[in-house]
Amino acid sequence: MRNEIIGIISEGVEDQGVIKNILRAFGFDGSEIKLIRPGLSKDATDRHHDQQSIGTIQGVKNSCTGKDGKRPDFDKAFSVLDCNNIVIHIDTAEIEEQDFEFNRPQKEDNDNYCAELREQVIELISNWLEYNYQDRLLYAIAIEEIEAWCLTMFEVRDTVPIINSKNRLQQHLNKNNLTFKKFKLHPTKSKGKFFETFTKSKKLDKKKHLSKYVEYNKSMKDFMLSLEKRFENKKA
Amino acid sequence: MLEKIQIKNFKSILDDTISLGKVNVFIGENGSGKSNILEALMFASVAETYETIDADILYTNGFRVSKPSLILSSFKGKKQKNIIELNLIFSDTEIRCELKPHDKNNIFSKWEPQYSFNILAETDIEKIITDYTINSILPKLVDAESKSNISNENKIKEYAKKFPKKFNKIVENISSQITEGLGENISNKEFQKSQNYRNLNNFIIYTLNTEALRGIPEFQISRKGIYGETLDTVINQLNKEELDELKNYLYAFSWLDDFFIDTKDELKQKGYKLNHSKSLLYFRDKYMMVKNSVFSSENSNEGILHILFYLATIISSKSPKLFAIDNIETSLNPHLCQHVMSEICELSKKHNKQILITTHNPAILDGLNLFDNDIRLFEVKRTDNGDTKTRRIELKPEVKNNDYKLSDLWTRGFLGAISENF
Repeated sequence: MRNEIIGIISEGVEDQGVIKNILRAFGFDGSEIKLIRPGLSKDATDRHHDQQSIGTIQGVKNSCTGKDGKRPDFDKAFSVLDCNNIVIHIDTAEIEEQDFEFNRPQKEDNDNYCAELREQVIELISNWLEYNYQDRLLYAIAIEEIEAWCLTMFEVRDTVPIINSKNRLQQHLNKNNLTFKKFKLHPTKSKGKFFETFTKSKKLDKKKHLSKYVEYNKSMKDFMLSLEKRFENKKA
Repeated sequence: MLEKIQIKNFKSILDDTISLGKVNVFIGENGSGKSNILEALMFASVAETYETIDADILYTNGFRVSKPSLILSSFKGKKQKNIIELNLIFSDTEIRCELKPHDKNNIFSKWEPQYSFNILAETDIEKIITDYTINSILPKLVDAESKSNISNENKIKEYAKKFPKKFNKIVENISSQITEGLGENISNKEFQKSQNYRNLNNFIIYTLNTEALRGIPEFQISRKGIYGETLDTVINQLNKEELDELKNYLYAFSWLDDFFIDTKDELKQKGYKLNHSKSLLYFRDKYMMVKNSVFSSENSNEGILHILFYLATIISSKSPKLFAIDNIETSLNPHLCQHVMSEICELSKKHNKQILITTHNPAILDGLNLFDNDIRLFEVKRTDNGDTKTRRIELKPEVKNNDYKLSDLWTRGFLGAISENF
């Protein structure tokens, strides 16, 4: 345990499950990782009218931009004495589709694609946040989807270029019998827990294994390095 | 005051230490171990009272009894130890308690307690008597005076000046109590020990049950009135000042004109209640015709019974100095939850009561001022290994002027203490 709290703002529950295990590799206990879920600000009546912003990149943007100069998701999380860090997650796959003014760097023949894209996304998020909270944020920028991070646990090659990593991951899960049923989880209600459970079964929560996996995905490695920089010097 | 509890090897609590304030509220997922904390304290309390503890003693004190192998912590990959260790640190003394079962596979097994006692800081007898006197007089002061910001000594001086006869009588009573104590020829050390032991020995976990509060005999099963079955007795034993103070809270129920104890149980004969309830507590509704305005606790709403019990227990000088309330929100409207919690915080200080409270209702949190170090909020959680850990929730000083309600912070997940599985 680190005896401090860290929050996660992410697109979906699956992403949170994966990030939670990466944070465990840095000494956090699961009980110290708080999922900041925009969905919890809505009741069943609200959700009836607004399904779109929950669990999407739009939801992350809404948290970051806030309303009337206030960003309750951040302000409330940081109001708690032992919470001084928040991880913001974004999958880069659908940034343009969300109608953002975003110029993706060239992918072909560009060795710096991941680094450049990560920097651009961080800049985009910082703009949404009007450069608030900068020293308390960590960025889990998954290129292009967090499923590509998960593929590193099954394939010994660079997973960034893999097209349709979601399908590819599903194939691996089926092949390895990593199913909801096996983990006694509800097939539609426990997606986050499922991702947390199967990645934990692959020991993503252990630094030794994480260090091996990140060699096959640069964006995952960048996230790990940012965690090292933030936490290694003051490890619990 | 009990300042710290260390619990080892008890149910889901493998090793946890909690630094307490005067009012301590525990929140957490269902099954996180909140009630286990209260039970650990209860175990220490009965261990002090009995040479051996059996299942019946535990059950009638509100303990959820199972075979000892399930009461001793039992986690995968860890060898089960055969001993529970409880370390209670009071302001000036430390009580260590170890409990071993005779047969860990037998639900009826007796438990063998071992007690040791350690004076941390020897307090001089003069200070003990002064504190004791102040704490005994303060609760007797009228409400308006006691809420003011002046020092305790000055409050007493003012009271003495204003009500000299009453004051002299109080001092005489206290003086005779102290003389009685000294007459037993107790040493300084023993005096300290007895104060803390008495507080621990009287510890109760209240888990109120509406039928018990109504006085239905089938629910009169506990030794200490843990289900609220003694509500009418608690009220009946209040002295005049205490009763007046309790009646200040009539405003909390818009329909309530008054309540009273029918000490001779005459109203039963007049058809005000069936023969089911043994309670002598009655209410008067302000909107009903005078001749039809009285009704028994058997017929009252649930909320008022709960509220009266909590307030009377804190106000009463005869009730425990240290107690717990499990699920305080039961039967209470959210707004009432917030208000009552706030009043409980005030009253606990005024009457020198230390309280541990569990709740699942966010509105309770809105009655807490976390910038008051006496008022503490704890998240009770299960770690990745499954054991229970307690974390004090504090807010950063700079949020003092923000309009965030603790209830909102809790329901939105910022405090923890909610399930993250769905």
